[in-house]
Amino acid sequence: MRIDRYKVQEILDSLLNKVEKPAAYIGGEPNQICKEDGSFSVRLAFCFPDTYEIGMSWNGMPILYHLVNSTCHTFMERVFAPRVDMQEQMRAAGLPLYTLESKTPVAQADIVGFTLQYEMCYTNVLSMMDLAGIPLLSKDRGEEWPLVIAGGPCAFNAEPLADFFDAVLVGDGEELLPEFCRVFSECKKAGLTKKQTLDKLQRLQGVYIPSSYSPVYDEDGSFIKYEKLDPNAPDRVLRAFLKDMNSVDYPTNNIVPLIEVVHDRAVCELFRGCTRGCRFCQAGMLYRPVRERSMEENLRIAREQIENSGHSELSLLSLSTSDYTQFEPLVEKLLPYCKSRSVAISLPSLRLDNFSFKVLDEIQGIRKTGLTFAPEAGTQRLRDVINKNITEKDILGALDKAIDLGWNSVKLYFMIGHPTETDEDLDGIADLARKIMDLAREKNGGNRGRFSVSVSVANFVPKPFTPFQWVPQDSPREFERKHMYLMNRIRPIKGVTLHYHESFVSTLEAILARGDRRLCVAIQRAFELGCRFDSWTEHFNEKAWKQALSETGIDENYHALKGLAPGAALPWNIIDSGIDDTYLMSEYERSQKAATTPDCRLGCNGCGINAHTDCPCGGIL
Amino acid sequence: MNRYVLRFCKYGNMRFLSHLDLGRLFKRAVRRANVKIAFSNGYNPHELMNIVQPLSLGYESDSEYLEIDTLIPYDPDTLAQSLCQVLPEGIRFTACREEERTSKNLSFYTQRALYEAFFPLTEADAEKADMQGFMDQERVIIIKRDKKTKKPVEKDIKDWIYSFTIKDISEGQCRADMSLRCASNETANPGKLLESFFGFCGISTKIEDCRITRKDILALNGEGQLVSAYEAR
Repeated sequence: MRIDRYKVQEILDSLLNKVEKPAAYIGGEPNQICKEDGSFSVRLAFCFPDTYEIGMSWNGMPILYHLVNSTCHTFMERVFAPRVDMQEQMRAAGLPLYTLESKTPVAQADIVGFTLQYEMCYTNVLSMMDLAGIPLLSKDRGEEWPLVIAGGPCAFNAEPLADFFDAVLVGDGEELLPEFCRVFSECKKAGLTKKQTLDKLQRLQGVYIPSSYSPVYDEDGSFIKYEKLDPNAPDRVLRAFLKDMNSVDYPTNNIVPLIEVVHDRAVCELFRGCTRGCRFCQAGMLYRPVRERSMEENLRIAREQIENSGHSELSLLSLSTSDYTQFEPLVEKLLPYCKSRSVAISLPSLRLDNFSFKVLDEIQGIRKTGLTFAPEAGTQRLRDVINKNITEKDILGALDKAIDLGWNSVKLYFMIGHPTETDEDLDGIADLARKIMDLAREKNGGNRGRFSVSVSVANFVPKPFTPFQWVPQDSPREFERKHMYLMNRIRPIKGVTLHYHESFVSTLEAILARGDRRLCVAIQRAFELGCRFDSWTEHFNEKAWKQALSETGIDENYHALKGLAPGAALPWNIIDSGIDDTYLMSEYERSQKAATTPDCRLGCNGCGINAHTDCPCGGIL
Repeated sequence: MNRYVLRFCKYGNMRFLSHLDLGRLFKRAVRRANVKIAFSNGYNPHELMNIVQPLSLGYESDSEYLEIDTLIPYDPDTLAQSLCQVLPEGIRFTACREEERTSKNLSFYTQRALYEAFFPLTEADAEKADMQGFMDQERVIIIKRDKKTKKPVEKDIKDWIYSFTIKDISEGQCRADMSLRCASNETANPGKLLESFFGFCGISTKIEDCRITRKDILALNGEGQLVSAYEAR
């Protein structure tokens, strides 16, 4: 029996009383868009493979929702991963995964799109497809099934999910996704088959059709190359570029969630990209070049969002907020506006120079929340290796001021397992924490008072399209040894606490991030063994994942720990990120000599992005 | 400053909105509608508004009450209309009037709440339904979770039941009408009462299958009479 939306609502009525957070499954929030049947030709079920609270906090959702729904051809609806208790209830009641807006079963959409924001959501992609009743493998889906597509940062290496997707969208989505839907609607109108439709879609810049290529491996299992199965497919798929953020009609009428979500606030993305060139940072490479939105636009968008949503917090978002060229005038205009409406401003990713301090002091007022620094590595040598342009003097100087202004807690973020790291670099982490404590004590007349330092270490995961894409990762055992080593050095320092992450999760993240197409069976097996919500500590099932990897012949040592020979063929190079391979290689070589590369606003470093699009911030300083 | 009391209904999917979420929704609605609401003094000023007696998650209601203090006077109908425009389907203001600003809010005066519940009942279970026996018990015990320890504890609510009747309305469907205590610290939950009743009689109906609606909240007026909370002050 084909379930319609009335039946969906009827079943929902009978089971929402039995689950936690039922309001995550009802839709109907202020500013939701619901198009009438017949007023559009393509239904896009846009899936965020995690819970409602996480997905609704993602900045890309309102942008794509607004842009796609502004077209006359497509109706984009939202879908999130139901929690485990809801999944069980849905299966027991025969309720398939449905869209929040119209309560249409996802399998009845024309296109089902997943956004891949982090690797640990991959089993959720499969569990959502399964809950929707859609066959997982692309080759098992005939004409009657929707086109299943994906996008987001992890789409730059979607090989571990390549067998499940019909098409992958790579790069900025503002123009690509609406255009993809438009071409699809024309194909649908013309009555084209799936194959013919994909052939047309493949011509768009940024669209990768995995089934057009077949990977080739040598006898010892190393990836060699792709064989093109479709002569029309490009040799490499160049990502899509948004040229100018000022040319896009960004939304100011965002959906306001009815329940508390992770980031419950208005968000204004000041600019996209980052010029700093940290060598471990994938976002810094994938979101090039830096494109700023004009101050007038940012002001308008921030104000209209606050007025239309009723939010009491505004976040100024970017990869490095104080690098925005109009940062000072923008904040000076926003501060009085927000103050008069009792709206708090939050500034993630801030570098602490004089002006930032003035702003922070003003917005945080008397009740100061913590200060956060991300030195990422414990010694100057290692910070030079990773090209993290922050010195101990910067940090201590900023703290000196911060303590005077009344802050009494600081958070330090580090990564361990960087290439060339030794125990001396770990000592550097403890030393920095100790120096901060000493400074606080000295400024407080020899007394620690309430001052505290929280040290958080993440495990380094090498990512595709970064200068560290070739390097080996530390083994889980080595990570654990380093955690203990650090713990022994930090524990004796009063007022300093250490936090670290599960190490096997990081191994798995590296396997998935740099995986090739052979990972598809492993992910499917992990899903069959019950893995889902892998980024949630309470749901992560290490045993099942290890079983899935070993049953499907994936050697975790090979895939995560082994470095790749520079010059070796890389499975993700079927995608062209716009950054030259030679640039990544030269950055890798410079890292081995601990040679830094300056911010590219000081002069072009030749990453190659300007061969594909304008790079408006190159060499402006 | 002026104080207004607004009556609203909550139905359909919006019954799954919790008390805290509803508070947040109203705060945003006030901002979006540009209503000049008053704030408390102090380090962390908050909007002066009060939802009279929280409604349990999953229940619908015909008559809930919201009190808000504003910095400037409003025409009550205009106020209700402008707030209605920024609320999702399923929450609607049905009446609004100005009331005298006193130090105590309406929650202080509420006494009872009236509920209606619809639930399925098998033929065999219908024969087991023994209202007389249930109400003749010395104590009517419900099981609730302790707020602090989260452990289930027993509670006798017999004195808080003013009326409790069950009617067969059609084949296999029943309706219960309840009038229960609903005051600041003494509140009887209709779902818990039904659960206790089903347990006492050995009825297999599950509480998740009961659809419960609050019909109104009653409060004492100046003359000591029990009236709808909307008319009490």
